[in-house]
Amino acid sequence: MVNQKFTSSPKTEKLQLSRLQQGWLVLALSVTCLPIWFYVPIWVAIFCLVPISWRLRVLWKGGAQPSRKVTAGLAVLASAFVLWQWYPPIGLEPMSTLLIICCALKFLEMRVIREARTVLYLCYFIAAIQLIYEQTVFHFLLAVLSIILTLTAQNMAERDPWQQYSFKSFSLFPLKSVGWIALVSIPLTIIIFLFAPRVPSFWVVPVSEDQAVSGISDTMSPGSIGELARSSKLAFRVGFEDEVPPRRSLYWRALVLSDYDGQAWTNRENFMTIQDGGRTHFPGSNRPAPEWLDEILYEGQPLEYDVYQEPTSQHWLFALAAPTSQENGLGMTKGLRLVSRQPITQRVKYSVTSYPDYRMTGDVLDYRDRYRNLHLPDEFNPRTRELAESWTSQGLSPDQLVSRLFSLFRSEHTYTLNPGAFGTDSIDEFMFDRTRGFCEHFAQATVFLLRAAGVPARIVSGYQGGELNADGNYLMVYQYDAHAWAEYWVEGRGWVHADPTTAVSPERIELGAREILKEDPDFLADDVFSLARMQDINWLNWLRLRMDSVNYLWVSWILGYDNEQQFDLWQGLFGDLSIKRLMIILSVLAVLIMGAIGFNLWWISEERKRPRTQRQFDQFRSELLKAGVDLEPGFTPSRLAEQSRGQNPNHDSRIDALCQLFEQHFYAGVDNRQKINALLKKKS
Amino acid sequence: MISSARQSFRERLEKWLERRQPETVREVFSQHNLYIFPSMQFVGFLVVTIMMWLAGTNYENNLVLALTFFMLAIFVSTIFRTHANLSGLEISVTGCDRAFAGDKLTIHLNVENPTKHDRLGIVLQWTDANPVSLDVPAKSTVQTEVRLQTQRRGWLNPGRLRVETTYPLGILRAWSWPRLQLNALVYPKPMPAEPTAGEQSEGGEGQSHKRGIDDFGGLSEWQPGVSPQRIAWKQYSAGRGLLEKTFEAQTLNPEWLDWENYAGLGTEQRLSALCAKIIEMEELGQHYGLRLPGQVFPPAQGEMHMHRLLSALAIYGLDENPEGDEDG
Repeated sequence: MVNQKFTSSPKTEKLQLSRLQQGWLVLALSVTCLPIWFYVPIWVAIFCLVPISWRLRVLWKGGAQPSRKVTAGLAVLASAFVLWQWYPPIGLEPMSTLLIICCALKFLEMRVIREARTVLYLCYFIAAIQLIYEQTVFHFLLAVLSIILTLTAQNMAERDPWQQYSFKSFSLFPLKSVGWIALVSIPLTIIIFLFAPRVPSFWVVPVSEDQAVSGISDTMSPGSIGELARSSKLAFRVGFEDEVPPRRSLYWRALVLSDYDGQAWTNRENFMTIQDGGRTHFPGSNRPAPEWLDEILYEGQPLEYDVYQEPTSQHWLFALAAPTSQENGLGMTKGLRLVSRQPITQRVKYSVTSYPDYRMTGDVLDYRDRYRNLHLPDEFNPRTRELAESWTSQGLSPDQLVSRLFSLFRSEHTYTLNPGAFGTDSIDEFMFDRTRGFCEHFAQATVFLLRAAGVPARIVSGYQGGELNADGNYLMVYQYDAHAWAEYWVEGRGWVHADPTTAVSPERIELGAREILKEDPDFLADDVFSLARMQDINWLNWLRLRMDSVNYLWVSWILGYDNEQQFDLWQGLFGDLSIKRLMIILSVLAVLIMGAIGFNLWWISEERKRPRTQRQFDQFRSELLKAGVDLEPGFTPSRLAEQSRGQNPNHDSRIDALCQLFEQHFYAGVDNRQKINALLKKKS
Repeated sequence: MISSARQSFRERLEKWLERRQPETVREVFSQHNLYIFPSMQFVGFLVVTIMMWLAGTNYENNLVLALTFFMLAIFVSTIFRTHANLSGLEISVTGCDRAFAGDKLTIHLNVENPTKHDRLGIVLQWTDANPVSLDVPAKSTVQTEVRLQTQRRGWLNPGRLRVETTYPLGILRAWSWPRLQLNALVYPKPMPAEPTAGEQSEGGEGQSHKRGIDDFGGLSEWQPGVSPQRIAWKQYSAGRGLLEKTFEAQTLNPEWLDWENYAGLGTEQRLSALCAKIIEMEELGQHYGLRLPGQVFPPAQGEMHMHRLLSALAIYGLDENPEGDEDG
């Protein structure tokens, strides 16, 4: 027997926290807030570290906590900093900053368990918030770990602080018991995840657009695409419904650049509603379809695929020519691109149907479009202009101009990642002096020459190709796959695709950027240890592809799981769905889940492990009790019979016999199980 | 209106409880007598879960939603876990101390855990008494005690014991309301009072007890069986052998404490006065008897005797009488 010292405690709410409880709390708090620190300004970390270390000092060395005035002062100071950094303080960063500072200050000032709970509940929310910044497997596991640690701290807060006052009584027991609860909860989590209906956003969430994310930009100056070849970061993945098309046809359009100031190419139309010289068409909206949609004939075999795009903080998306999409918030532009109403600040998935064999009627290029795509600043690149004029005077058609130019490139130019810096007449310099350049130099020269020759032309930038991961039948497109090419206008045919890189370096298109550039010292210069550099080492490459397929599964199954897939799952499981059937299925599911958990608990319960005879005896005993026999716990079977004989009007020989059998079974080591079973059955 | 509705609800609840958990010496907790409901803390948990769901929905972030559902699933498993923390425990009363009205009465309880799992954060509470919180390790019994404030003499009936737990997460509360058979007798509050009548008739004795313990009679040879209190330790340490202190009082006639001596006082005052007197007599080592209307306790001496008399005072005039004879 354990003799328990008398402990009389007031309401647990007002209890002081023990050191061990505070220790678990600080562990949960640190792990939870850690990932957020990477996304907020540096001063936030100071506001968090000061209160936490102050509290830790109190915890280790003793001494007094600061008064409430001090913490209130710190809170005011922190709010001032937040207002100074973000005004108005709307959006994810100010919110998460305020959350973690609140949490740290509350941790500093808390005295009783009730206040500790406020910290705990903030921790749960912060663990969830950090997933809005990053959605990798790692970050998700980190969030789950944060939740489990916070649950453990909450579990500790439920225990009597007097019984485990110091760190000496530390044990992993609370973590184990919470871990067990978490483990049991996983199946139910999966079921809710699969079947809980998804609701569209309630309000538009503000997102900051000033995050620096590498990727193609809407201003293209000489060398800007070449800059991207230094990075092996993933741009997006594409999962195809059917076979993956050949690499040479994979031109992922992101931007159409028509405006030229003599140095850089840009897209000045920075409006969501008007892009590439026409109104953007949002399939979900109730506005009538724009006129340009009639000039595009969506013909031929459609190509269906899902794009899983990494965050860019930009509005443009990646799609093959003549894309259509029914996704909410996605628009189709006149330049045959897709754009998103909201900037892409987290990983997104969108389904696209492209028509690679589309045609354009190409009837009229309106005045504005013609002007934009013909405009050249007067003073630059006289030699290229001269060349263009001499070719026009020979009466060449646009197509002939292009083939003439490409054969010039083929014979006299070299494809290289780093041709060096150019002066003011950069196109002249590239065409006649250096004759070396990367895809954007060739594209710029092509567009310049065509414009000078009076043919409307523009630059299209995006990505070309992608690496096939045979594991999952999907493409991985990296930053070094960035590409730029040209389009020119032909009456009756519309915009015609022309990629000068095919002329100067067909291998770039056939084999991909990596194969061509891997010997170049500037290629992947920013990722010295990137696995992408080591693709020639077979086992490393194998590992890299496997790791990416795991990521792809994660992205496509967990992040991309939406109403559509949910509906497919429903249909696959239960066929066509009526409300009545749905209700039946839901209730059956609920019963099954509860049953499963209940069974699980019963399975590990003590009751199950007690010998059957013992349970039978208890049952028998309670029947006698009901019959009015006065029994005390701990009576032996023979004593039971005695009592029953005296007090039970229905006493019979069966009761005597049973008692005797039980007595022998329990105390004499005789195995009477079968006899007991038989006798018990006899009655019923 | 409301209070009467509440009253009738209380009565109905009590009736229902009486069917489920009748009075017993030993209660084993199982799904038949355990109740479970979200606690106040669950509100905070729910608010956080809703906030997470809002964030996940608004940012269309499946991972945040997955965490939200994880929290929900945790809540569901905690229902079972909290219930299991009480289920299988056995509680029984091992004894009750005696107390004078107005003092605290201690009840000794045994909480037995025959299962293989530790049960933590079990709280025992009788209505307004301070709760007792304890952990019961696997395969063990914990002895604990609850102190109850007494108001008046008689059998103490503190109602149902509330055995509850919010372990492991505090968001759910499982509890049971066993009605344990108590054997707790509260003696009247001792309040000395001058006898108002009949003192003259027994005047001799009246004076004798006033001399009290000061009336040291002398020393005699120590006999085996004499209380160690009576041994003259001072003389023993001076090397004079074991001697017994004798008191004048012992040699006097037995004292009769009579209900009638306090005529004119109220019943409770009389009982209090008698109570004080009994304690005084016992301290003096005096032989004393008690006369109550309809009851006569012949003179005797000793703790057993005192408790018998005090018990008689405690239940004087009260009908209710729990089964089982009290033994002081």
